[in-house]
Amino acid sequence: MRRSEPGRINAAFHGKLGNFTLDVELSLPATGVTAIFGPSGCGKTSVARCIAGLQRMADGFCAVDGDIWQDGSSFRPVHRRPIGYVFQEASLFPHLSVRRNLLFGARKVARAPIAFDEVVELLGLAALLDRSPHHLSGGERQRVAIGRALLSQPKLLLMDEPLAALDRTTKDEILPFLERLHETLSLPVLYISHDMAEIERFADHLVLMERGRITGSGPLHALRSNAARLPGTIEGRHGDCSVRRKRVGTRMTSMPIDFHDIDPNRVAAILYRPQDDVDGLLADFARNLVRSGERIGGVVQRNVKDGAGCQIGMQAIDLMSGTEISICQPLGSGAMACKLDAAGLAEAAVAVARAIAADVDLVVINKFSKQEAAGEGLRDELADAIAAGIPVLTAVPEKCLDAWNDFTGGIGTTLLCERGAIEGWWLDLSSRIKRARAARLPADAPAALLADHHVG
Amino acid sequence: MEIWSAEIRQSVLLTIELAAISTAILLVLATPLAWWLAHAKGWWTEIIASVVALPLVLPPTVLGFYLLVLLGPDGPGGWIASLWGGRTLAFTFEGLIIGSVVYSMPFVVQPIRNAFAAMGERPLEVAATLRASPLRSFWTVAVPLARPGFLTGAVLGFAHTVGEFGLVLMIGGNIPGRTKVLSVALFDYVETSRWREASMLAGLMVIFAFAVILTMTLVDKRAARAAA
Repeated sequence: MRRSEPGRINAAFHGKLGNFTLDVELSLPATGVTAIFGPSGCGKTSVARCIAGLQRMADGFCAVDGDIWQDGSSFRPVHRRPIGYVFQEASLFPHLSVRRNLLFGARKVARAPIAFDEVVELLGLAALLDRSPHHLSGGERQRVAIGRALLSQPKLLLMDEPLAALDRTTKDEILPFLERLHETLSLPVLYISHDMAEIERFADHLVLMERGRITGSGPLHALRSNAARLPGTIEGRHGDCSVRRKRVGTRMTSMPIDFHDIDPNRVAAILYRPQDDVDGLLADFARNLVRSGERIGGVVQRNVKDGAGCQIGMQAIDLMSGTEISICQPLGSGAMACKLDAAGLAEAAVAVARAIAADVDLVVINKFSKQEAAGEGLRDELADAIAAGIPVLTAVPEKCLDAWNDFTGGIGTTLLCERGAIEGWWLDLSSRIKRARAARLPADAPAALLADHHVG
Repeated sequence: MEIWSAEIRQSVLLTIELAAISTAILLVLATPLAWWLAHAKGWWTEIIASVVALPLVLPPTVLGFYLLVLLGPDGPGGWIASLWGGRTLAFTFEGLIIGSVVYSMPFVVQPIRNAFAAMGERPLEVAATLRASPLRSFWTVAVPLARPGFLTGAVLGFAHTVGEFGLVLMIGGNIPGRTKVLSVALFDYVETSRWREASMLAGLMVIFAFAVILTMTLVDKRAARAAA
């Protein structure tokens, strides 16, 4: 990807970075919002800093919209790169008023594409202009910082966790401004975040990062739907990014899902009663499959017990990487009402998205319970996995069966909460899938058509 | 008032002139040095910093002795001066300026260096992402943000030059109107038992020192309030 192309951002950075190696190659559309998502310390900020030129990797390449910013022999200094950069902390100049902060990088061009008044209006800054940064709230400061970056007339806006240092209320106050920004300006944005909820609100394109490497890249809706079954085609589908996805309700897939062409055998729900240890059953089943080398992904949970065998919490495990996502404490002693917190849920969502993108043979999602029935939790991820045609195994409490049937439109099988039932279902399904594969007859015709189309 | 004699007036004016010129030169030299010390990362940084800080620890007479050797007719300073037919700088006002600059350097460099270091890289990074060249960032961001450091440095540099005695005596001598500054004049009055003039000068110095400390405290407070 070390070449300069108009309309694209191409970047490659290799080198040591703290205790791991940054090894990144990116080719992104220079339109819309691209989110770089990953856990803290995965190197996503370094990627943004390298693109901005704030950090210099000896072995690096960066070209934006046909303009080479860095290659083997040249390195364009930061102040000659047409970027806007919004840091995690607003970093306003304390000795300048809001107005002079905003105008610091504004160049004196007669017909600037981004006008001062427009930015003031867009970000609601009119009342703040003559104040000193000391007298602004955290959210106001960050809005000024965004405005200041915009007024330097950037060709690429880099936002490094601009909301991470803010509390929930302030975040909610700024997010609408960011959405308006995206709808009003045709400015490519690279948005760094570890919060999937933020990303889902306005990103078009998603890059997943872990420990200095890129683990996935593609249009957000593709990583989350059918096309994700065909990893090879994701790169070829950037064109779709320009189409702004419309949000319905709180999250994108709250809309009804059309599962009519999904093989019903591929969706299985383990029906359990409160006294069943469905978590342990599902976790053991998944662990055995992972051990026997099956390509499965998703999230299972396992009870964490203290020395006396009393449950003290719940641990979620990402099946693809084997990493533990979070431990949450139950609400009261012995209470079973513990669930993933927002951060854990976002990580679990990524675990599932990654499994879908990797086209695994089975996605296990624990589970479809009250939260999912109410349209929260991992409901969207379940929908994505089912829509992608990947076999899905989940657990449904008896009292949520109706909600589950509404959700799937009655497709799928229900299994008893017994080890034999689950294993039997999987043996049957996997052998049929393998037979179909051996005969080079894709079990899922629409996906195959799509694949042919893109290869051709 | 007969006590405000021409003699005293002369040494007061000479002292102020010396301190003002030294402070100006100090600011010009100390700023890039402080900038470099605040941003360089090599092991030699602290060696240079220690050399700059030497006058803090060395007795002023030792410093004066070396400067005298350097500037005197047999030293490199004298040799350079002889190239363009000039006389040596020892026992001249210019020599005093050189001595004062060397002596007061740490008092100016340290506060400015601290101010540059305290602001961190972030404001400069922000300025760079807003298309400001390094020079523009320096003047429009770094210098205004380091202003308290500059003020402290300037006041300390000025005050130390005014108060210096040992070094001035070593390289300047005691030539009225040329090198006879306040502290030397005071010493002179005491030597010759002119107590009225001596107490007058000493009183002036006390008031001056008080004013300096008060000014700095107020400046500090203002800076702290501005940063809050």
